[in-house]
Amino acid sequence: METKNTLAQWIDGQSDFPEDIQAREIYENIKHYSAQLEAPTFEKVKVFKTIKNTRASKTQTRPSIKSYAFKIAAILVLAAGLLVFLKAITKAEFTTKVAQSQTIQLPDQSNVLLQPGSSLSYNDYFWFLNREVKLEGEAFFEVAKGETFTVKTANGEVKVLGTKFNVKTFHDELQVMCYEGRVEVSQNNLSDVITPNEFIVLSGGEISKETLQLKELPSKSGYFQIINSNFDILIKDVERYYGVDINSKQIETNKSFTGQLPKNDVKKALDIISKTYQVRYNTINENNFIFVGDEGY
Amino acid sequence: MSLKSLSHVCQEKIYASLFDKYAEDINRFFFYKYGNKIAAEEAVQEAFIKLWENCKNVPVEKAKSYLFTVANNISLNAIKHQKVVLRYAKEQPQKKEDQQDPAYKLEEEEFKQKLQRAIGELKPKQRTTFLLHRIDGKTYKEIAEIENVSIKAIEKRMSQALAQLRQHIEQI
Repeated sequence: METKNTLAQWIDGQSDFPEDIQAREIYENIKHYSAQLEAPTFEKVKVFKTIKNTRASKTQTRPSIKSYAFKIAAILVLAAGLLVFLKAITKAEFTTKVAQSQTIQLPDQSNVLLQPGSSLSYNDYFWFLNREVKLEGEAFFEVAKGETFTVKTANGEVKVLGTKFNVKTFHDELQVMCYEGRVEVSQNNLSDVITPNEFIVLSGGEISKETLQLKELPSKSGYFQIINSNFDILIKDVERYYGVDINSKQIETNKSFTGQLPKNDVKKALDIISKTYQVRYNTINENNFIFVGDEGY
Repeated sequence: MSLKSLSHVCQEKIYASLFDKYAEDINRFFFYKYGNKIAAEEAVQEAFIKLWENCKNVPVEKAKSYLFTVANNISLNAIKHQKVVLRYAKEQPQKKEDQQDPAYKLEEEEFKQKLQRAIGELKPKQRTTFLLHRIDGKTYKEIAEIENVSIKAIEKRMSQALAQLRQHIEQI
């Protein structure tokens, strides 16, 4: 029998087949076919269950000195769990589809007009401790007087006491228009306060503000109010407000748009945009439009 | 809470991850040694229950060697040795080009059977090393850690296993 470990090194791929050893073919066959072997399956989940059961029955018979501490910990965990549970079941959530808006009355009689393609949630149970809503998209708020009212968004926060304001946050921007009262707007470390007729945009560490006179509150108006929007974002707004698809790839412009688009009348809205940007649009079908540049003008 | 207790074996999450990591290895190690599937499962259970009972004294980084030590020490006379039964993986690439040749196929089947029987005839220590290397793809270093011996000793076991297999195959 061979005594050196040359065979072990060979089968491990460390060296060539040792020259002083006979019957190379058998060894090659052993190497080849043994690599095809498989072990029987191990029922991991079943075995782990058995272990847990055995463990449980063993620990019951030996109460630890620390069991008192464990009980307190268990009660705390339960209480925390209950809190999370309550929070979950008392969460009120509203979502609007494209071309759909909804008026929501909050527990303190504040009103929210949730614009198309947006969602709003708040906690019913904890409402009187904390007036706070989460918003994705756009909404107009008429907040009843009281403690601080907070609108949380992915792009920052808006805090007020009792005012009327509009929040819009679809991209990485946070846009707020103040109609009444004082509104505090913040994004990361930036924050600012706006007063009636002021419009603010916070985006990636920059603040821009302007003053404009708007005649109507969004909740009373038959129009969608667009403020200082670039063309691409305007088109996305129109798609969401009216539930249509618009191809605007041919249009290149950096002119911004401020104005009102009539609700429920996409044709009129598109006419207004065409006039402003001096472009034409074609109707593919009632939900599908394409902007085709300015040759027509 | 001290920093140490953050990664304690007594924590269910860590315990479960240790099981996930090592249970199958222990199971196979034991099965290769004694060929007894039920005993191998029981060895896994015993090792992990002991680990739980001593979880306060076993640091996470020592858990692996603790588990294998317990499995290694399980009273051997309690275990009925059985013939190690293994399967060949289906649909393996053929060794030679003349794979269509029925005579060759027959010869191949015959060799596979012989190899199976020869593996069953190996001494437990040789078989464990051989199969951990061939099936599980463990390195000699890893096997040496499991068996708690030197790498040289494992290489020796492998060489002996191969020589034994050749002898058995020639005799069958």
